[in-house]
Amino acid sequence: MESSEAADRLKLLGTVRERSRGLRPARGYSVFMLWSAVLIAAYVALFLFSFGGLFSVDTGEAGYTPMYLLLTPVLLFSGLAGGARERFGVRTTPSAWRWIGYGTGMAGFLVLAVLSLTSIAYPWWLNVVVPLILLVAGATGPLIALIGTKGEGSDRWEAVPLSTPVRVMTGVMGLPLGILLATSTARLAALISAVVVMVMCIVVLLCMRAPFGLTRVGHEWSPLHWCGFGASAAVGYAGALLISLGVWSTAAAIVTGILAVLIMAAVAFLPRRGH
Amino acid sequence: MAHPRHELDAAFLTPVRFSLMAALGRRTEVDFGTLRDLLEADDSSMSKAISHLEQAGYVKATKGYAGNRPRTWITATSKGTAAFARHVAALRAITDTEE
Repeated sequence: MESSEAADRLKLLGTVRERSRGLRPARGYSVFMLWSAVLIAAYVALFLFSFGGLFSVDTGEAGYTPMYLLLTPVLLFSGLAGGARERFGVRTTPSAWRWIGYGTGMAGFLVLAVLSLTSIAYPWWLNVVVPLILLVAGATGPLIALIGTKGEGSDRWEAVPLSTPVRVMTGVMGLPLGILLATSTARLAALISAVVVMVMCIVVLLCMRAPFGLTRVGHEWSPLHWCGFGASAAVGYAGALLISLGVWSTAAAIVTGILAVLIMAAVAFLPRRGH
Repeated sequence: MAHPRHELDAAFLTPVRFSLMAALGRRTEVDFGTLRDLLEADDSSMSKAISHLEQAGYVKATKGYAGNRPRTWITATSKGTAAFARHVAALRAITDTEE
């Protein structure tokens, strides 16, 4: 290769690098990844605090464990998240440090979960450390990206009306949690609903690529819908916590069950078509 | 001492393949359409470039869907990043040698 040709290639390198300077994940992607990290860390924290010996797992009035209330949003999220990531043209791949942090956190969670479920005692502060490791591992990258792109608003994650299959699926997304919550104080109904809900989740996960599947749903959702899902999951998580604390009643079960359903039913119709 | 041209990697000798590696940052996945528009290339030359670099192990193409439409994300592998860095160093050495 001649020197002039080499120089031309180096000039091309400079030009392409200058153009690709703006090639970075949209702020919406970073917000989504941050939200995901918070959801997972919250799930792990609540699971460990519910089953880690600090609270009783099975309370007087609620003959039902909160495990399914914690697990259901995470199962649904696993399908939704794939679809959400596919709407972004530029994404980041995790760094080695993130894999190490995440692996450490998940290994810690598994160990503590086994210890909890087999009633083997361990220092309570590990229930704080493990979720914190997961939160730091998952949230650091997106936070840095958000700070680095502060003030940039040209790539807003706009909300558009959902397609009909996705709208229907969104509207019923709160049903699993609603059923689990509403039946949590009746032992037999709770057992039956747990089985029904898990079967529902499995069927939905198997139909991921269908027009109503979780991948498509996650792809179409805007921050508004994700907030609704987060709120519905928070109702479920709060229910799980209250059951573990022994402050639960049939009235609370029914009210929170209806709330979990109504939240998703409401956001399914936003934004409205024609607006 | 060997001439630095021997350090050039044949995988990066075409402008499209060279530009593609230059555009891909560390740990960034970029979809096909975004890269094509950035490099002002056509679908055919982009596909061929990606295929060639993928066979060399320098990029990884991940297929997915954006709604109903298939979509491909491309990311540079660590092997590709290192190889491209050596290629650029060789280019600089060539320009330095013959000045």
